[in-house]
Amino acid sequence: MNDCGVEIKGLIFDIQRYALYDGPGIRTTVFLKGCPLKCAWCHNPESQSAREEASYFGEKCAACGACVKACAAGALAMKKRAVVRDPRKCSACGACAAACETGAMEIIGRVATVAEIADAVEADRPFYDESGGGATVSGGEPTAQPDFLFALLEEFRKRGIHSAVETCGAFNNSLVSRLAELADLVLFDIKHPDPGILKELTGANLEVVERNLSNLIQLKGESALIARVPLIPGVNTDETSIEGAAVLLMRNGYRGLVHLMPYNSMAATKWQKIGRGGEYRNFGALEEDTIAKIVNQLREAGFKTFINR
Amino acid sequence: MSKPHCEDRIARIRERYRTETPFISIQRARLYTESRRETDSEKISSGSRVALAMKNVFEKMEIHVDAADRIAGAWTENYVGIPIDIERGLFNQTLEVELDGAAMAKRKVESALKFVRFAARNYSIPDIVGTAVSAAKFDVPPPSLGSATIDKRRVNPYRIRSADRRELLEDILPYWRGKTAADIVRRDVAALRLCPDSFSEFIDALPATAREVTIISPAAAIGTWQGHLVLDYETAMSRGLLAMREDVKDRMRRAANGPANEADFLRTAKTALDGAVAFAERLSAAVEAALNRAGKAGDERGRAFLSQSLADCRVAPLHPARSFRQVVQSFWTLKNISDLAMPFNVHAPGRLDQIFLPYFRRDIERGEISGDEAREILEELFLKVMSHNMRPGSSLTAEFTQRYEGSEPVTLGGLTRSGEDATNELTYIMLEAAERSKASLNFVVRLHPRSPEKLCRETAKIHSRCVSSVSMMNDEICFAAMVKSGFSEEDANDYAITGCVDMAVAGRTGGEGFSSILLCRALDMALRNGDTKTAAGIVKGAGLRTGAPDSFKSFEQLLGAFFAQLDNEIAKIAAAARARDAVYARILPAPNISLFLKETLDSMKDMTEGGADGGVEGVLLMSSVANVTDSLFTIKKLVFERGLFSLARLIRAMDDNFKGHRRVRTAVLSLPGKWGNGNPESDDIARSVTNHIFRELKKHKTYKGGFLAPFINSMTAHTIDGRMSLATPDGRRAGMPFAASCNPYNVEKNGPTGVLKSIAAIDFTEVLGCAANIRLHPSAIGGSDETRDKWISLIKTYFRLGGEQLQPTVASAEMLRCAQKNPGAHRDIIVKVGGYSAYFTELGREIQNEIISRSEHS
Repeated sequence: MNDCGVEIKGLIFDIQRYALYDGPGIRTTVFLKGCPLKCAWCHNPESQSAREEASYFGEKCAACGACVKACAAGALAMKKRAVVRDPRKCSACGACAAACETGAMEIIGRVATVAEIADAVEADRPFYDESGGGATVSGGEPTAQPDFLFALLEEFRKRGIHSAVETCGAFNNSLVSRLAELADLVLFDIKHPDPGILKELTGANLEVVERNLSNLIQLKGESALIARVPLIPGVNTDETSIEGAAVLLMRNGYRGLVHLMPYNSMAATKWQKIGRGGEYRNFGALEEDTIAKIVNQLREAGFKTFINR
Repeated sequence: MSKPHCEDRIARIRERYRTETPFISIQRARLYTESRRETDSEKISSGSRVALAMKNVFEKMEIHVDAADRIAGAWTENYVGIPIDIERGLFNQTLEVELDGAAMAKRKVESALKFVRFAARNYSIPDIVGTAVSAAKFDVPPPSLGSATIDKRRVNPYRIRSADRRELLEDILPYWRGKTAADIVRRDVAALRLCPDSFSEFIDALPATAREVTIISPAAAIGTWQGHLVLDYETAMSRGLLAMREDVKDRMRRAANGPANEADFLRTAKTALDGAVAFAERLSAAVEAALNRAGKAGDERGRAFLSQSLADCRVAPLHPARSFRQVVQSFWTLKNISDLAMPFNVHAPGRLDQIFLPYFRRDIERGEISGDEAREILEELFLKVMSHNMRPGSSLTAEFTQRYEGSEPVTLGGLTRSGEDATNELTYIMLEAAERSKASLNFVVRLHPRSPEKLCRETAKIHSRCVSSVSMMNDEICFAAMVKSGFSEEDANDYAITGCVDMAVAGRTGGEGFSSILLCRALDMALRNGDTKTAAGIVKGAGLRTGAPDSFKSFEQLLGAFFAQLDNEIAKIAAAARARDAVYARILPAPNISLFLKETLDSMKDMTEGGADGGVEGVLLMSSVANVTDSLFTIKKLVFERGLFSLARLIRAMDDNFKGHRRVRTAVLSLPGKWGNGNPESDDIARSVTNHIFRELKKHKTYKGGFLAPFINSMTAHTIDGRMSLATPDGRRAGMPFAASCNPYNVEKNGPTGVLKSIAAIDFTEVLGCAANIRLHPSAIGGSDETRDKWISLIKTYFRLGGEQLQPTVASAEMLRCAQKNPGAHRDIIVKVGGYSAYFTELGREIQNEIISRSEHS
């Protein structure tokens, strides 16, 4: 409930349990849909749009045509035993998914209430108690639905569930104080230290990101933060980029743990499923040697690292 | 680090067990039969007849010794082979029919004719049409005997020398026709008339040849064999066979004027010991002969191994073992003796890290062995134990099986008899040997709240390296279950696992019989007013007339009908199991097994008469908790609560394999919250169904005065049974496998936590064994201490919630598909099937696909 007694709702696209890499202990991660960035390597492309969208997985499709018949908008057609969607006509109403027997057709994104999410998270409480875990809000970008995010965090706190937020750092500076107040832990992405490259490949403004980082550290202290660096081959895995990331962290007073998140090229199917297969870019394989070098370089700079995999 | 050549040695042993086609060895059958023929006319007890026959086997069989082995002895004259338990007769018909192409063809024609006769007599025209319609809508063919003889089939083939084949087919098998335990069990169970006569005709018309199970109803079967225990080798290893024989002689002197049956019991025990001693002495002689051969051939390494072996064999098990090497040799010789006496019965090794510990510590203190040397010997032992886990089953089920059914678990860790933590240095060495040997055995790690963190971490490390032979049991729940079943607290602390996942006390639990109840079939009977439909046709009146589908006005009424069907099946199982056990007690006592049970000499009663304790009749809940729970949940929500369609409509959809019933199937499939998602509503159904069964089982006793106990483990029967079953109300298609063991079936995205919460909702303090499989992508355990600790927390939470057992298979679907395409490169991948381990590439395609289809958690 907000102050006016209206139940706050948000758009989520997944709840994942037994999440191992989203904070301490066993966690349940809630994925909010919608992101201000458009990272070229995005491994959750279905999280970008802030609206529900239809997804179609050809490998699961029995080509039975039930969805084509069920679509009142006439957005679907069967071509060569595969369903083709006209995005202009599709309103993601879900009739196709309801008619689909094999699960090939799905709607990504659903509106959920704070209580509903908190209940779902609370179901795994015994696992958090044993492991020192809790809930993590991820995205998309959680701060893109600030009211919903803060209501969730308040609810977690009320129920005594440890909370973490994963953020790209690209959000309005006015949100920092509440985020610092309500989240027990913030996992903060450092995607690239060069403002030009960052802007080009993700759309983020480094100045905004850095100010948020700096404010968060000042308000919460570095121990309530974990810096996360996605390792994208050919983008930020060179010595200069890593050094830049280290410098960026240090000049804002961060000396804590750095999570390294190695790139994998497994998101191709996800891009295809939402009909954006053409936008997928494969950044190639990340060499083990490269990871080892980065770990070394960061260690020499005084950072502890953990590889998320 | 061990020396490279040691690694090679174990790899070579493994390779031989993995790749050599095993021989069917007829020497046991020949020598047993020879003695039986001689004693046929004598007026002696059936127990002494068995002991004499086995003594003849032990005194004359050829014993194989290999110069590359540190542990001497094999149960046949070949490195890889199986003896035939001719008198039990589990596979006599299989051999009669399936060693011979012409006999196989004849068998198929005969069973087809029998089926036509059965159908003509029992089916109306609409029945025949209905059966044909259902059959036409199957996507997979029913199981078939095929045309490949045993030596030519793809899965689990065996070869036999041609002279042996002739002798077996022309002389040995004909003698036993109609006389085997399997024959008589079948006859006596049929005489109970548990089902209408038409059902016996129906079963008769199936082309099955193996007699491992006796089918007593469309929803129930009993295992034909009896045995399945953890033997007390410990006493024999520490005292020696010769001292045991002196003890029996003493008792004979004391009992000289006692009742005749007691004198006979002791005489029989002495004969059995004579046989065991003969085997042990002849093994020594065989090692000596091999040593001489190695000397002549100039094989220096062979000579070194064999002279060590000879020294060990001269001591153990005739005399008390005095070193680690001797105790291992003693164990293996004793296991050969009992496995030969009762092949294809599971004699699990038990708590080897406890039993071997004093010998290991003594050797370490004296500097006579290093940890690495001990580990290498254990690796060999594990592979050897694995090699006895073969069954020459029928081609009808071959696609559903594999060569080594890696049961016979080794139990590790846990508690001492007085309740202290029992983990020790040998526990860790054995875990390492388990991983390095790549033996397809089940290694059970017993965990309790005081288990050392190191044990949890080492177990998790093994899992994280994609080794899936190690399972975990929850001591707190197991202890509670044992005590509830009447075991003492000391015995409950001391449990070991036998079979797949079954709790027993070494030398005390007097053997477990096994039977199975098919839950979905019992539900089918409730839905069809006592009839049931299978892939092979309709069976009428096999269950109770509990009412037509339209007569159920509420979900509770339907549930009541289902429970009535279950009760009826349980009563049939109890009656049939008693009849079977009576046959064993009458014609086939087990004097050679009774030697290794603690109380038989005091009670003067054979194992088959309940000499140790009453033993347990394990009733396996098959086809399956998941499918039956989901079916009931579906009916409750969609038929009774939401009224989307009638029960009759749902049954029609099942008959048609949901083809042409899209609306029904889509509604069924999209119903959220089925069992395995941590949904309290479906979890409650699972709990109430299982609780009902637990209560009902308690009402019955076994022949030996023991009790019926539930086990939730399907082995591979969920695939075979699935193949024989029509579609089920939960949306499972006809012919498809049921969920395995305690696994959920329709799991949404609630991850492993949801699965484990649902499983833990069952009251496992009533269950003496369950297999809970969870298939994980390697990333779900991860490669760091941090993530492995989370995996350990997951298990600990599940145990705290009441889970009893967990057996992870750590392999991605991708990896398993690669293994299907290129088996040669992935021969070492071990997966968990029912409660046991198996090499993935040796499984039939059906089970491979079932394992790949299990939800993958990452």
